[in-house]
Amino acid sequence: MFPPSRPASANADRLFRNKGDGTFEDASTRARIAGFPGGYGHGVTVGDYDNDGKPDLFLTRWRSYALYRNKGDGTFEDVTERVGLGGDRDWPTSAAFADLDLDGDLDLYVCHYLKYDETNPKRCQNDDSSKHECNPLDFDALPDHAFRNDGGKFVDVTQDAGLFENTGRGLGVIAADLDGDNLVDLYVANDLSANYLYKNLGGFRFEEVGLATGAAASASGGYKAGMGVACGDLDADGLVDLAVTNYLNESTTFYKSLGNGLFVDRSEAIGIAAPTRLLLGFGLTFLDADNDGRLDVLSANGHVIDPRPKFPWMMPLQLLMGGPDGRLRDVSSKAGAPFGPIHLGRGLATGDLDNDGRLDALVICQNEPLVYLHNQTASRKDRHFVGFKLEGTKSNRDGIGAILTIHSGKRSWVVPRFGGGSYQSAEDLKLHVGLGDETKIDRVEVKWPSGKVDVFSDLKSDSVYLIREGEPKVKTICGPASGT
Amino acid sequence: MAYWSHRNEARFRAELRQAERDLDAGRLASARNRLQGLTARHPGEAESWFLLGLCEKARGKPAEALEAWNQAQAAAGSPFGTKAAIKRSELLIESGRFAEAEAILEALPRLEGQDAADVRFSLDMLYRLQGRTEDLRRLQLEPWRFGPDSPDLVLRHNYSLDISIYPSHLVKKLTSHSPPDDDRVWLCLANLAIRDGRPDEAMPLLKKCLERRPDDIPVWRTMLDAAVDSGDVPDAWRALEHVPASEYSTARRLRLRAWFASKMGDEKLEEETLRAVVVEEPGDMVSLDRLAQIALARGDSAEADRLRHRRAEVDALRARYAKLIDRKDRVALAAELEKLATELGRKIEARGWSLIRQGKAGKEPVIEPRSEAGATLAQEFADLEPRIASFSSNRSPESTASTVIPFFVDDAERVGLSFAYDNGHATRRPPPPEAMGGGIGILDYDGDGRLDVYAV
Repeated sequence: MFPPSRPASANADRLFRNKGDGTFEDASTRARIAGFPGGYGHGVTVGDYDNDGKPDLFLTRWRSYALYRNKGDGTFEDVTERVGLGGDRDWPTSAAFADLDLDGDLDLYVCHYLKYDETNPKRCQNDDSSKHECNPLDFDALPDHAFRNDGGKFVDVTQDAGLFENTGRGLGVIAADLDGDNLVDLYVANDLSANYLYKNLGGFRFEEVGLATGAAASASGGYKAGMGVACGDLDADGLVDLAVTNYLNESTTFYKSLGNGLFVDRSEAIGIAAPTRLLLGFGLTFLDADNDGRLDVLSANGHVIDPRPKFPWMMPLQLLMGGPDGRLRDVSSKAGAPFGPIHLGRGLATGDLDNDGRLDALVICQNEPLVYLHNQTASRKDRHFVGFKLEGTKSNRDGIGAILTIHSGKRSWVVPRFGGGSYQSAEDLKLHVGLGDETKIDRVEVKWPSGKVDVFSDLKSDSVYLIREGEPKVKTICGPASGT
Repeated sequence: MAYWSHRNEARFRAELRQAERDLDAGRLASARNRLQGLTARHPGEAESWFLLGLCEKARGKPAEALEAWNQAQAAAGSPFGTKAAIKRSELLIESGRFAEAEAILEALPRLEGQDAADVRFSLDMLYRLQGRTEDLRRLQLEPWRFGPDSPDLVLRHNYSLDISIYPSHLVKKLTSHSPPDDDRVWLCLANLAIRDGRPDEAMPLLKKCLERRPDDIPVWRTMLDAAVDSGDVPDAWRALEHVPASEYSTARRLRLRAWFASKMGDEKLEEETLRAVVVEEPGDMVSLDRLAQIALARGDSAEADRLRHRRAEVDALRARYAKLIDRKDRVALAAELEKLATELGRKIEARGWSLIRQGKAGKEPVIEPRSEAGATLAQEFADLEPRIASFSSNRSPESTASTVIPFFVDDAERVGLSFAYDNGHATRRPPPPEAMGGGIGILDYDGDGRLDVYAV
């Protein structure tokens, strides 16, 4: 119900445990999640904020945050108040864990949307006092918040960090080194105003450089309704690019990196503009769905109001496949039954849920069962992959902010371990890389947030490896996967 | 009528009015009885056929309604013939029969008055569905000639064409029951394919369209869009040979020229042409952005910076213009709107606001009359032709047999991932916080090497 009752009702979020036989069980009660105070849920992000090797959960809800610490015995404890994240938190949306001051633990960035009074919903007037349907610009923007992790306490340092911009209605965030200086920058997709690119200056100080770097707005001008964000080397030129889902008729924007933190809108050139024009996108991710060595793009879509009959309200999921000519093309109609039905798609996250070497995805849609995109792409001799789990020692344990470079034969891949991403969702922190017909990896280079670089050579494909910062050898977590 | 006695005519009129009252009151059976009698006795009277058509439509009998209106149209010289033609075309559009509707509508006069406005309204719909922006623009500027009541609204419509969204949902709905041989429906579907990012699927449809109307400019324009979208230089050039240069604005023609230049890898020509574009239409932010990219690639970061700032300025002007033109009191703001439109290179509107400001709206035209003959785009671009010849069609490198398309099944229910995000509000207009929700987290919380799921 909205507005949610106070005091908060029981937590309606659910934790599903993978039983290992391909099925899941509801572990919310056993893991204590079900007993925590709930709320009107928005999003989730995952990170090991206390560096104990167990992933913790951060939740955004209407007027509140929650932090669930993983105790390592199959249960969580609600530490929201203890770590300083309690109280009224207005309207938080997406969040990202990342080590923003390079002290080895994860800090937290939380996007906030707009000022909405649920007890007295606003009516909207034009300058000449005629009425119109309220749009987000009719509400004041809320500033996003940044929290420094001080030994397990989260301290709001938004002002001091130079992150206090109050013009943006934040919906999506990526934390990654976007200018190659080894400091983790922040990229925030804002609804109907300029997107922010916060350049990390070091010492938990940031400077907003969106306009100067070309990442604030798409080429067609007019700030778009940015929703979700994806990050990765989509055009395979060795530089980490960005993409942002937008409103109906605005198309998803592809911000190609030119290096040194500069971006240009190449949405048309890469073929992402046309197929996304008639969609209103939320969740967005780059993934190599067929392990052909080229990134594909998956999005969850659906309108926020019902504009029928002229325009669609519910919308299908979309899969764009990276082609040999460097362009994306829409293969949704051939990619299986889940791309048929229409939804109000929102959150989207990827991970290999059945450990078969093919990336799966989950999609949250409004008012209907979640969608499990179980990847069943036909196996072929020329489709291989490799997976990496990062474990920082000097760097944060999750390795967020690290960048991998993989060389195999004549090809190479640059893969960032970013924080945040998509829309109000958290993908598996392991990195999955499609290798095409390469069966051997000549060389892997990991550039850690600490500045340390680890190099490994001669690894077999179709395995998942653990890379621990500073250790001379990788550890195989998962051998050549059967069936791929 | 000349043969009627006055008495007969009075009786006919009285019965007609009674039928009209029955119709208004929803007494359809009675109205229909009366009208069938009248049409049988006086088949040359358009009004009774017209009312019979309304009656049949209200009864849910579209075929009968179309037939009655057809009869009304056949009765020449009556204003009800025109009204029936309009109604008939409306119903044909609703039934997905676009080619027939278009033929009827385009044959009707479009001067002043309500009927003309109705004709324009239906044509507007048809052109919109077919993605015919140039025809739409001409149509929407037509009332300007008649000294319209609200000339500012004519300019507002002209502006909104540039920000309007293709009505994909409506195209899908209206064409779902179309007859299979309607070539205007094919044109709609080709446009839908292009706007959906499937230009390759548009091509066969457009080729079929051309078999019906080999020189049809709307089809060739769409062909050009499809070719440009799929990056096919030879197909684009073929389309140029059939599109008169006068179809497009100067800025649009220059952009097209820049596209050919970029396809030929001639960055110098591209840059030169784009410079001309932003002189002609200073509000073209895409071209400014592309110029900045070219400058960056050349290592001229000062120029790139200047262009980016220029773009930001233009964006502010554009936002201001968008805000003012939406205001009801825009006539009072004509001077500022004229200034902004001039600075953005929106020439038609700049002239329109200027005429409004001087009280000359409708007395002087906002656009030059369209010249039917004249050079094709290919003739205008003749200097590029020798270099075009070296391009071969790049159609579908992807349709090689070896391509594997990723394939997914929805296994949520089967594997026990049963969860539904409930926004608590299933109506069409939820309050903002309810429209936005739902996230998903993937993590291995118990460290067993298998990924678990947290659903919000």
